[in-house]
Amino acid sequence: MNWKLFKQPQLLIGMLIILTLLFLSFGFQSFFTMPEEVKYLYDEDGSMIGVAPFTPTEVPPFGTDKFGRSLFHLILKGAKYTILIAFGIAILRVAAAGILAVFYHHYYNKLRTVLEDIIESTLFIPSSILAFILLAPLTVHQVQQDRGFTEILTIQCILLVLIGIPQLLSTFTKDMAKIAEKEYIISIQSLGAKPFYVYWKHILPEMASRFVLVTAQQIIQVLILLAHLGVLLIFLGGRSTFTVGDIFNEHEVFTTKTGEWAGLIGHNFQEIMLKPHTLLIPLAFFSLTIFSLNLVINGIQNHIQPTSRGGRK
Amino acid sequence: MELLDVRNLRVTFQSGKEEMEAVQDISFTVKKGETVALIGESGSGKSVTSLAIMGLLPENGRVKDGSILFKGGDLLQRSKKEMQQIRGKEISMIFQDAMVSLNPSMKIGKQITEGLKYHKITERRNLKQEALRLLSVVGFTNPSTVYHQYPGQLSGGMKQRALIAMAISCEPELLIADEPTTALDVTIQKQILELMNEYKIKTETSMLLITHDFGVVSEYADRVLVMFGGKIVEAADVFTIFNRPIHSYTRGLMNSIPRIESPQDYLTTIRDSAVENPFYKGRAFAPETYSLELKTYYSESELVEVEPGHYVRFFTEKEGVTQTWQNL
Ligand SMILES: Nc1ncnc2c1ncn2[C@@H]1O[C@H](COP(=O)(O)OP(=O)(O)O)[C@@H](O)[C@H]1O
Ligand SMILES: [Mg+2]
Repeated sequence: MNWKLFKQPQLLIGMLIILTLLFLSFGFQSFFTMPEEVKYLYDEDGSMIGVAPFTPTEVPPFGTDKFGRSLFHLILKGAKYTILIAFGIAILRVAAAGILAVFYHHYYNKLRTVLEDIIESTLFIPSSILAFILLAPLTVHQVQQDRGFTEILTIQCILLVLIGIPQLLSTFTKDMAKIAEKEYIISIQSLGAKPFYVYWKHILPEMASRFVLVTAQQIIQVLILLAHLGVLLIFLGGRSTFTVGDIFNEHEVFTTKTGEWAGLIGHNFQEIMLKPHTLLIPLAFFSLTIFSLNLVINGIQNHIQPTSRGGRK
Repeated sequence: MELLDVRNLRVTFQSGKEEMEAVQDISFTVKKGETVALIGESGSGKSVTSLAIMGLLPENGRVKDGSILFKGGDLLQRSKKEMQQIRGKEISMIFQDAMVSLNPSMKIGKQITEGLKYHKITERRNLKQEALRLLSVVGFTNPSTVYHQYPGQLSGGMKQRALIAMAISCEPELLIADEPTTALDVTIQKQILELMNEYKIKTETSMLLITHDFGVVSEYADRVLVMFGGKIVEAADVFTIFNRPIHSYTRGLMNSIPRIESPQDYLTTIRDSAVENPFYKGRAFAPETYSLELKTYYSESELVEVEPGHYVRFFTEKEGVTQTWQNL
């Protein structure tokens, strides 16, 4: 990998969109002055003309959800949590799998008998289902035992990291096996290099572009996974409960504590028939982020491909 | 004492359930300061022999039998750690294809001093100076430019020079050169071989020179081992081999050296000369055929010392069988 990577226009556009989202998200308060909450709308005479949720035309730019919270605020505030959490989980997955792959590849003959079947079999379970099975008990646990926000968030993140590792471990180990067969690796060994030095200095650097690429792919996977979990009412950091309706028709609504986008999808999912914008706008931002990441991935692939054809530099 | 003494080396490869013998019962020695050539066509087991000495056989390869004595100690009995200490520092290897034997994304200067770093021979701050020295030893006139270049920026011959610099960096006592010039064109070949030979003579390094080119052998080797199908079929010093080659396979290989004065010789194949005369003093040369695709050693064979220091492989004589041969 080298800095020429950043000459890929697709990569730059993709990164620009994501960085803009993050920038707006962090500097939110200083850029925008619209009201954060609109529960009721009144006309000039002071008589009430509507109750939340409002559509984008009633309360620009994106309308509100049924609690009167401005979607624009929610989305921009949530952007940093969503993107950074997905990024963090992706990075941890790749880093952990990369390190484990070194050991797995090095001791392949010994470890294969034990691990290969386990790893291969987990590849066929959809990660959303796996994540749901692992994370659902935690939500119950949280309510029953009143666990703290950070504790829950940490456990959830660890589980989400672990879920992604087998697949990456499998691909990384295969990549390493290919590189390890290369003539120059044998040449380096013939000079007396220690095995872990060979990994560190020669095999892992060769995989650098690949790691970046896979990280971007993993961010997408984590985003999709979070959206799925949101629909299943599992949110990062646990859920907070609102009670809505009147005494005759009271029901609880769950939403996220962190404000990440999956929460918006989760509690607005039932609204799709009546107020589709409350679901579609968060989904649009999910799509925008995934689209930008795909641009980044294409940029990286355009950068890698000439090298894999043999004409490096 | 010999520097390297390989005895009855046998190497097998496991592919699926089948086991294939790539090297069968090879013995030879290399003395200090001597160049021993291992010659044979492609697939005869030359590289496998050298990788076995280095302890770098691929995953599916295994030394089945024999010993590799280096300075009196058996390399096959060494631990992985001990082998790492020996590789590069006492025995090092120059590979065939410099194109793929250098890490394409590491600068030449850094790369050729890797060995010095592993063996902690040169202090870190002197590494650059040492790299520049090595680069000029192998004939670069602009070491400081090359130092900062990537392998992709060098020509084939230059890469091979860099590879040689790497191999000699720790001043090993034995250099194994596995067809070091096959990938290069003829004039460059000559330069590279001259460079290696000069270095060898100056430092009294021993060399195991692997090649399939009798021309190279005639110029640089002291002793010659002719290999076919994982076995040595003829071994002698270089003068004997050229003046009195005995085995029909050796003669065939020699005839395939292109000669300007008689171009038709170029077309002589090894198979033709094999048919010419399969016997020497009534004994049949082993193997039966010189086709690597076929199983070639049907019956037992042995190396026979036909004159002092000159060994030729014949089929083992059995009672009665000898008689029929002599009548043929
Ligand atoms: N990794 C391997 N797996 C299986 N067979 C191998 C492997 N490497 C070499 N061989 C076999 O060993 C024999 C000798 O190969 P080699 O030593 O590379 O020949 P050469 O004399 O051309 O260097 C060949 O028949 C080859 O097919
Ligand atoms: Mg070879």
